[in-house]
Amino acid sequence: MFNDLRIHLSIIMYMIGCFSIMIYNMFVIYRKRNRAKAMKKNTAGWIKTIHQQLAANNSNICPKHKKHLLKSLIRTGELIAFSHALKFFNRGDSKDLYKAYVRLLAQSTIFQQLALVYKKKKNAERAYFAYFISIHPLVVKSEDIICKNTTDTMVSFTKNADIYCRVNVLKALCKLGDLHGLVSVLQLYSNKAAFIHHKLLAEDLYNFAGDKDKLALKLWENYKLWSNNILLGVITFITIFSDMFKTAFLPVLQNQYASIDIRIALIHYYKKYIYEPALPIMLEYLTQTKSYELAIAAATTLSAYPGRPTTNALTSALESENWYVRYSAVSSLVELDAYPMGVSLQGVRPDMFINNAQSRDSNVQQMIEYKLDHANEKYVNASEVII
Amino acid sequence: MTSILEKFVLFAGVFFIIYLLIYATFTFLAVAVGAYKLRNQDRMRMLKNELKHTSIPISIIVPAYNEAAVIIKSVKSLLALDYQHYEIVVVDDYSSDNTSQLLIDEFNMKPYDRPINRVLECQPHIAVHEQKVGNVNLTLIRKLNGGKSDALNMGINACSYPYFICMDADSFLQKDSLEKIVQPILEDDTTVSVGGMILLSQCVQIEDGMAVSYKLPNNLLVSMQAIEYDRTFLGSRILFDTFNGNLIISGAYGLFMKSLVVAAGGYDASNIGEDMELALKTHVYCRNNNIQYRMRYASSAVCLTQAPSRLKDLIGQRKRWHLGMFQSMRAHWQIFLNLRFGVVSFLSFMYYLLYELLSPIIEIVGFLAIIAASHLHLLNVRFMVVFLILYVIYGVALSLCIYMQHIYQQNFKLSISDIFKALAVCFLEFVFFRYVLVFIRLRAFVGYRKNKKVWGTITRD
Repeated sequence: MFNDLRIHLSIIMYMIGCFSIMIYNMFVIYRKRNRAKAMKKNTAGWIKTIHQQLAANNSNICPKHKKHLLKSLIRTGELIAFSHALKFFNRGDSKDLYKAYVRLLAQSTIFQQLALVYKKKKNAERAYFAYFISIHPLVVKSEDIICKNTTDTMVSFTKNADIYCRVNVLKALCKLGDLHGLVSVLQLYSNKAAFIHHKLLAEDLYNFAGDKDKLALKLWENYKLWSNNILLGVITFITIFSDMFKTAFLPVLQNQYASIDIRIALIHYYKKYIYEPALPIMLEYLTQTKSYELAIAAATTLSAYPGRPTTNALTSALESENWYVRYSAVSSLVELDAYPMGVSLQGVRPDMFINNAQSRDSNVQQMIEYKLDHANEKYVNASEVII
Repeated sequence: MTSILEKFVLFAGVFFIIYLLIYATFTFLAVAVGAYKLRNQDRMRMLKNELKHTSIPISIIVPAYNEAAVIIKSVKSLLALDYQHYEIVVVDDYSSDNTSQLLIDEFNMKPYDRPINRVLECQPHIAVHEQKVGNVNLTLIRKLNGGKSDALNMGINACSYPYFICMDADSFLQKDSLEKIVQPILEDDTTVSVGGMILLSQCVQIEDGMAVSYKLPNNLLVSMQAIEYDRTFLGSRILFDTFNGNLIISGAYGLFMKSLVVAAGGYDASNIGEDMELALKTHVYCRNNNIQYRMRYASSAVCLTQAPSRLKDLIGQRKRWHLGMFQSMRAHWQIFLNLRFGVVSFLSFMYYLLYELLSPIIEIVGFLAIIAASHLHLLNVRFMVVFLILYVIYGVALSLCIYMQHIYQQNFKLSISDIFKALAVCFLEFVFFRYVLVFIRLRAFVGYRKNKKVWGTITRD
């Protein structure tokens, strides 16, 4: 069935393949070793070139330098070295030089042209270009026509892009404060159901260089356009800094068809920014809903809404079938009672609900005692700080 | 009788040629795909194609049994990780040494009557201690003895965050490893688990929580294990990862989505190969419930662990692993040749069955076939010797390739003497160590019943 020679030959073929990989690996190791040296040399070269440009003291980039930039920076390796050189200027005493040089670049169309070159490159290189723009915002004003062209080109990077390119473009647009570009790009991601983790999105949006309030309003204005994931990111971003959405969020919180994750994010918003009209909805989620996730979130948030209805709802939640609902209810009850520093606001002292719960569930009693231990410890620590 | 023996020898000849050629193809693909992916990862890192976020909350579960020698060092290293939002839950499985007391004293931990939601079955706890160290909540749970899986189930019950990491108490995470292991979650929300890369601590020098140099140690047993680990973690795991086919998320370092693990039933306390069992269980649970899922492998998330440096310890460890593999594959036999599991069944499961679980038996049959062929004068000695020489050269070259991939993946320096040393170790590993392992695996089933709750221990260097 088998010819001896053929079997040996097949092994030899694999061996040749294997030796090829070995040579490739050696080449990679060698290149990697030299890459660091080459990068250092290139960076030094760029530092020198930038110094020369700044020494010329022109109000515009000199044509020779512009030509050099356009010719060299189309290679990604050179762009990385150029980025290192800019980082060298952007620290210590030379920050003014950095600002001056960036100003010169911002007035030129160099990066607008480079964006068009990088548009034709592979995803990874496009992503690097976007990353470069995000750390060196070389196009200063978002309303500027140069900036607009550059950001429009970057938005087009995201067609058929991988996650890294999508995230880096988002970062760049946020750093440039380009509201229009940002909305377009989020629209594109939503339409394509392209995934971006909501925490990454919220972090990038928080770094928006323009008017964050305006951004938040614009994003919420279009909330029906967003995929759940993007909407979650938008709500997380708004929760970090703005209390202006208390009224706007309420109908979505009430909407039974809205995704549970979205409603949970909104409940967390109302923990940070107190809004009494949200209270009945949260009480309902705690007591009547079939979703334990919503009940847990509501139980946690209710610690920020002291009052008899809250205490009643939380106390009845101690009988929930779900362990986490009971635990969150206990946490909130203890928090309500211990705030501020052990003074009971509602006349519901810990021992009252201990007695109340004792007959029903020894587990709840254990939760209460555990939470009270922690609350007391916090109280003692706080007292020590005051003393 | 002679005719039956002849038929056996002829069949064995054909079978082993096919068996070895398939193995050669698999290992070649593993190395080639590994080389491509690692080079690509390196390039992506250089081009800042990375997702960084350090506030996805993670619980680190550290099951411990008689770990007094390392527990403080281990927890201190965990407290120094470059990550914002995590907690540490140490589960002491009723150690007979002072593992718990050392932790309590070192971190001034306080006792609490903490309620624990026992969604997963496990032995009851005896005491819970807590302390906040910096921003990190440190919890120590001392429980009745139930084995590693049982301790992990207790950790899952007690942990607070949506993702948890299980790791060994004698392992150390590289400073950036949490940031690296969450990357697949940031890339794809269907990721339910991520395996990390295991590096032998005897081979590396650590500076500021990072491995800065890599040398094969003089202890030959450890060196050969290092080559074997590299072949697994930088070859086959990467290959399996390309088609979501990994059947093991290493017990020394793996991240899991808590809700999914709980829904799937957690760790099986009767299984001593808890890592493979959970990975197989995840495949089964997700496929049976039509859940879209990804089980990823992150080669840049590095965990350092100590390999056995004595043969006795190695024998104990490998017997446990092999037995665990047997238990896990038997428990999830439904994956075998099941169309619903696709490549997981026809590639991964078959590979583990034929080239891992049954390989000691198959190799012994091979030796018997050679003896029988020689007895019947059917042995083509020339062919056999040439084949053997070619196969050894091929195997050594493959291991050397992987060794080099490891060097450039982690930016280690490589000298000429390192290459020669690696060449010698790869040769010895291929012609000697593999056969020691075959022997150990064959003996794995001796004492199978009585070993169920035994914790793996090795002598510390």
